[in-house]
Amino acid sequence: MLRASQHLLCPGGRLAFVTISIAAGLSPDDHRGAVAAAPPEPDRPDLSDQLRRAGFVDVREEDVTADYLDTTRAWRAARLRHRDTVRPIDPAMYDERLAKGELAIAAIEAGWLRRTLHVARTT
Amino acid sequence: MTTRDEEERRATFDARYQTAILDATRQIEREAVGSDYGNNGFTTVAQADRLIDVLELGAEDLLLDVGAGAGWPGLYLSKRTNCRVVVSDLTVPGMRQANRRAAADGMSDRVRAVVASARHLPFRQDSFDAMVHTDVLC
Repeated sequence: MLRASQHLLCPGGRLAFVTISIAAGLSPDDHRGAVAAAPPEPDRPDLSDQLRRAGFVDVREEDVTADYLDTTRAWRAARLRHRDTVRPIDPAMYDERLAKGELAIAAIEAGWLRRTLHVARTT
Repeated sequence: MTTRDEEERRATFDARYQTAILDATRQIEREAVGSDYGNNGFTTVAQADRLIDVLELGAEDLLLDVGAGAGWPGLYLSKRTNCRVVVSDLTVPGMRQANRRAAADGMSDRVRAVVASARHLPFRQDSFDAMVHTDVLC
């Protein structure tokens, strides 16, 4: 994706993207818990370093994990408020999303998952 | 992500976007993230506004939003800034929904929806002034 971004952007083009990743330095058990709670493919190496090596400049990142936790909690709360209307449409999907949300909230609260805004520019 | 994973994800997303959007699910989205674009991710309206700032988006720009689902946040960014936007994702239903939303918002003249894998984006070199993707898996 980074190479594609470099290719597709005009000189001086701006790139912004958000990723969810597993925190570094977790114990094997905690890492397994994070993997279970995270979206697929959350193991990402240092993206800022990758951006610089791909030729991007003005590379910076912002930790938006607190917002991620707030949003995940907000999804759970909204789904629970509308449970009686939404769950009958597809109970399995509703239950799965709720369960995944619970896992994610626990993982974020434990410091296992983080969400990051990456910003960079082409030369 | 393997091709098989991508195909499975495409089938899941196709089913999602073919499902009639119920008022309650849209209300859940509004309450959780503040949007009403069929967004079920973690980028809120406030965070989308932040993207406008960091991308320094303006009406003269052409933006690419990769993995836009049904058009979030690319359509919103275009609506706020009047920039032209290409939204892309794996599924035809998602991109149809994005086109419908663009038409409903009177933005069809500056929106293109393209069905494409993030791994094989069918655009020419130096096509875009800005590019965004949020929690895209690829």
